[in-house]
Amino acid sequence: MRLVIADDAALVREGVARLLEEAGFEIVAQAGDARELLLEVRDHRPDIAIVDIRMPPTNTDEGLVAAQEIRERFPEIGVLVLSQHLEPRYAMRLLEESPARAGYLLKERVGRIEELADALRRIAAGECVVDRAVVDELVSRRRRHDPLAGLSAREREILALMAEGRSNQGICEKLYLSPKTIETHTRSLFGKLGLAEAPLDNRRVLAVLAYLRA
Amino acid sequence: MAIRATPARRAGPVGWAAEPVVVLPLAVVVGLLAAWLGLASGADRTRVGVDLAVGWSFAGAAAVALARPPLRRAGALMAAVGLTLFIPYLELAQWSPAWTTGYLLEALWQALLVQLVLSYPAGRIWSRPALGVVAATYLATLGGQLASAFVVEDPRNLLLVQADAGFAELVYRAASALGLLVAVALVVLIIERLVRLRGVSLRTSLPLLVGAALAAPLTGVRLAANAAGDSAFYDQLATADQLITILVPLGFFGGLFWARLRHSAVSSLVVDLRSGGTETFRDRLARALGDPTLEVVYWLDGQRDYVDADGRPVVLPEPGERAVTQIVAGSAPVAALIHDRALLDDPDLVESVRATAGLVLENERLAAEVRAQLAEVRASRARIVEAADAERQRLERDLHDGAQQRLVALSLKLRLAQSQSHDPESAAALVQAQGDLEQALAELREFARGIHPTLLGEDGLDAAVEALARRASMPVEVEGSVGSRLPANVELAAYFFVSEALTNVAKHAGASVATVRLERVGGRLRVSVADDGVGGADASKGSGLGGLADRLAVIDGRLAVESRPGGGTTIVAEIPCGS
Repeated sequence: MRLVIADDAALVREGVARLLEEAGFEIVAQAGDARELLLEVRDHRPDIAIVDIRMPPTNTDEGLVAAQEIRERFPEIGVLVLSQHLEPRYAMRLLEESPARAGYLLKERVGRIEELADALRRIAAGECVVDRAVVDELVSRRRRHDPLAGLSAREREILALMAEGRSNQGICEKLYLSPKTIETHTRSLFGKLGLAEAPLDNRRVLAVLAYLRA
Repeated sequence: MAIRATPARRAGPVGWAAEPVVVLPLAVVVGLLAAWLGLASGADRTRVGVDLAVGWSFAGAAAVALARPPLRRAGALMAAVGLTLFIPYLELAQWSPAWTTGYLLEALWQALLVQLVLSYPAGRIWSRPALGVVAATYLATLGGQLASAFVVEDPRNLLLVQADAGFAELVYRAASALGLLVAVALVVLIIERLVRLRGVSLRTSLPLLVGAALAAPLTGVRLAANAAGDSAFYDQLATADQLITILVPLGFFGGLFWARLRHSAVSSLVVDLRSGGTETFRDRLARALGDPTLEVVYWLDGQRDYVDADGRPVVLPEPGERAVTQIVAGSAPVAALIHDRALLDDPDLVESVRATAGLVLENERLAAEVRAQLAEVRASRARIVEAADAERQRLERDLHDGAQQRLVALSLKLRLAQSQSHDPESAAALVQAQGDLEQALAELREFARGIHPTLLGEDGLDAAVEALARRASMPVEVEGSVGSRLPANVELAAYFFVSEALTNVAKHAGASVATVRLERVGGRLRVSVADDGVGGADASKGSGLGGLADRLAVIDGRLAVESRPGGGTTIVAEIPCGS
């Protein structure tokens, strides 16, 4: 898999590149800011661009803006935004247009190279990826009349995995359950929450996230 | 900076005779000489008495005016009128040079009188038309006498060329006709000026000018008769005309008396001030001085500058229409009055303000100083909050771009070390270290977010409050919204308000639910945080609300707490936010 990595902190960028190369990924280019990133993506057409959310000049959301631009200009190229912010709003900004082939992970996940590699493979397969900490914050929010209170522990687990962007197949593998069991749980929890079942996994992510944020 | 109230002006041309102490005795001596000459020559006693009364009135007015620097020029003219009025008596002398001089300058005093009136009170002729009228007067008086001197038959006439009574008559009638025009023009100019003047200037000028305007018609009637050839009528009214001229010096004294009334108004200011009331000191002073445009500014030693009553710096105007009078207590400036230049025409008035108002003004100055300091304290509090906010933002950035990046890089190194380690024990330790590091990173992220909410700057108050509500340890409902973006300091104050209030609810209230409400009401942002907890909150009891009140005060916001034991607590912040 061919990757471009953009991060203004060279130490982090090189470290991530080295770990990913060891894990069998091909790093075709590295960029220190958003402008460079767009040039490298245009020239190399990687499978996925890994983008730090904070980059010069303002160190706010340049990376997110660049990621959105890549998605617009090169829809076939996946993007993975690495962020310091545990904030669903940023994730939604990235995903809401089209959730396929996009991911929002907390930056510290890069130390867990297996998780990073897993996210990259899922993005390459057309899935979307939302950091579990972001989902966790949404699921564990205290509510006055909590509709999630009626869910079983297993159903909550499945809801969270759906919000992370996993397909039914992915959830099966994660929980060591049969597709049939997952389907039963899914139908049950959608019924309890009053959500219409979405045909596509990625649309389902948006519906679930929107439900959780409301 | 100090501009003296009383620019001393010497009246040059009249010299020593224009000294206040000299003019009155001089006029007495000259008048008595003239009277003696007149009575010895069998002149009309009434006429002599009238001349003495009018001449000495002018001299008395001159003595008073000369003592007042702004009126010195007018005073000099009055002295000249009072003295030259007696010149015609020279024509009673048998000595030829005296007669000739007396004849030539017989009517000089009338020209001087017209000049006095048309230049009152400053001594500078009002306008070009007025200058024309003055010039015409000199032509009619001096010119007429000079032209007729060559033909008037008198044994004492040194200028006689050839006696010609017909030509002399012609000259008299022409001069009278010109004099009639002067009298009419004089009245017109006076009326026009009185209509235009306002306030202090009007009151200074009014009595004297009215006196002149009342005196002029009779002179006009006489001159008209003379121009028409009826010299008998002209002579018949001479004494009455002379007598009515006394209205001019009487008007002058009337004006002074009017001003004196204002002096006592100023003197009673101090007493007046004790009675309190809603009228400000400035208003009272303006009323006493009769100058509604009066401004009072106060001297601040600390800033070495003047400020207004609210403590705002003031630049004193350049001398011009407005004049500045400094009030000094001891040797230190206390205050300054910015007022109508015409007040300077009456230096006594300004002097009495200096004398009576010093103490009061010192008080007012201290009050202005306190207000100026208060304004400075408010400004510095705003700067402190601003600086603290900027510092927090910088700190948050440094954490993200410095410490956090290094920790992430360290995490990567630990991961590399794991893959290269062949010792299972140390590999396990490395995994443990990486876990700890991730925990540290999560805590650092929370810390950075508490210092400065990045989301607020990027997505605004609605999003940031939503995030606060989501992370709270109890259920929080958000109602309403702000909609558009607000000024950064308003958003920040409102954000910290909600954050602090929710922390308080979590810590003290024992609430099951809290409600945050955001709304904009008529140019104000209204944020409330209500809970259903135990109530009894008190803003003064170290609940962190004190700091919030400070932060809100900087942007003119208000904080209100409503809390009853057992009835929950509602904290409301209201912040002006433009539209």
